[in-house]
Amino acid sequence: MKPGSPELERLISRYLDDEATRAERRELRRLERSDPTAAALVDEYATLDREIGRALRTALGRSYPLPARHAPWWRIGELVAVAAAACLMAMVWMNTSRVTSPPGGNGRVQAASSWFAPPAAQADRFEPLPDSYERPRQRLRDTDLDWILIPGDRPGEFMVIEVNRARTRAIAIQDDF
Amino acid sequence: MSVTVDGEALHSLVVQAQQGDRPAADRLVREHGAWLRSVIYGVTGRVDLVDDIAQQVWAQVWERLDSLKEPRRLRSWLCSIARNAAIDAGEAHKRRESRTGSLQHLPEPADGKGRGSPLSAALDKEVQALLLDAVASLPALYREPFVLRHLEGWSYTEIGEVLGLPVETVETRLVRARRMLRETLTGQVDV
Repeated sequence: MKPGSPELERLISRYLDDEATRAERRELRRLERSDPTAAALVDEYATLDREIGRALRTALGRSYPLPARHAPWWRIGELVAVAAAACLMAMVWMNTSRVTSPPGGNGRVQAASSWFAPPAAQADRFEPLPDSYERPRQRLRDTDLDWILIPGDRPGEFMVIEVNRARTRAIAIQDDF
Repeated sequence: MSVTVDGEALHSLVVQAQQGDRPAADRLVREHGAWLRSVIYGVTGRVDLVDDIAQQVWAQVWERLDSLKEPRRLRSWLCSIARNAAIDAGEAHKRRESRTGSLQHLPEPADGKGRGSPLSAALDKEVQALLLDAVASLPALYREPFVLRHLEGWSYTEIGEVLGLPVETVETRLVRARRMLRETLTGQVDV
């Protein structure tokens, strides 16, 4: 398949439209690796497609981008790496932001991290149930705050999630999601 | 695809709209309005005509909705009304323009707040105008599938169903559209 040949253009077009079969994708990747001219043509058509798509959406008042139907194969690795990094960061963050709750104390939650709100004087008593997520039975009066208590990894340890009800949205979802 | 209702739901939605149910009619417009605008643009290549023609199309749709005997064929029925209306309006506009001279017909971008500096916004606008001119210069038979692919993200099969074309024809037209656009824009836009 020569660069500029109708077969290559058809292959690129099918690839950009997410209509290429797995074998066709493999063939295109092989061509891109082996022939810089073919790779440049793929890149040129991809850029043209992206820019014209953007111009059309802008002109017709469609601000949202279409879902990427032709993510280049080499981008998939990048996406996996980014997702893995995000998971790792989330795990680190959850570990460092745990709050120790002294059940033997006066029953009030004491925050060890500034991320959580410091315990208010009128904080309600929590009655955490092991192995379950429990909302406090009573909310703080005259505030928008709500707390959810989750049992931690070690005995006597809990994680407190502060929910600002003023910023919390409720949306309906179907039960078959 | 913008059509989010299945066959049964579509059937009952159309029947309700035919019986004069206002929410059902509103839902039909919501679910089909966007892609109909794309069809209209695909035929005319003129952004500035799309809204007017779309309005005419929906007026015709409500007048003729009772004549739709097979609600499952709603999409192709809507498409044929939109294409005919767009062809008529486009030709009428061309006749008027040939008498009065062409006017600037590029609209302000919908997100006209601009990105970055005024210079980059101006360059963006210029590039956008070039790209839209190139699309407008395509013959309608190539522009239609190209626009539906790029605005609606439809597959070859979906485009073929709506335009009444075999999948192979859709594919060939998209290849040609891309080739023509590349030839038109080579040297004009740094892609």
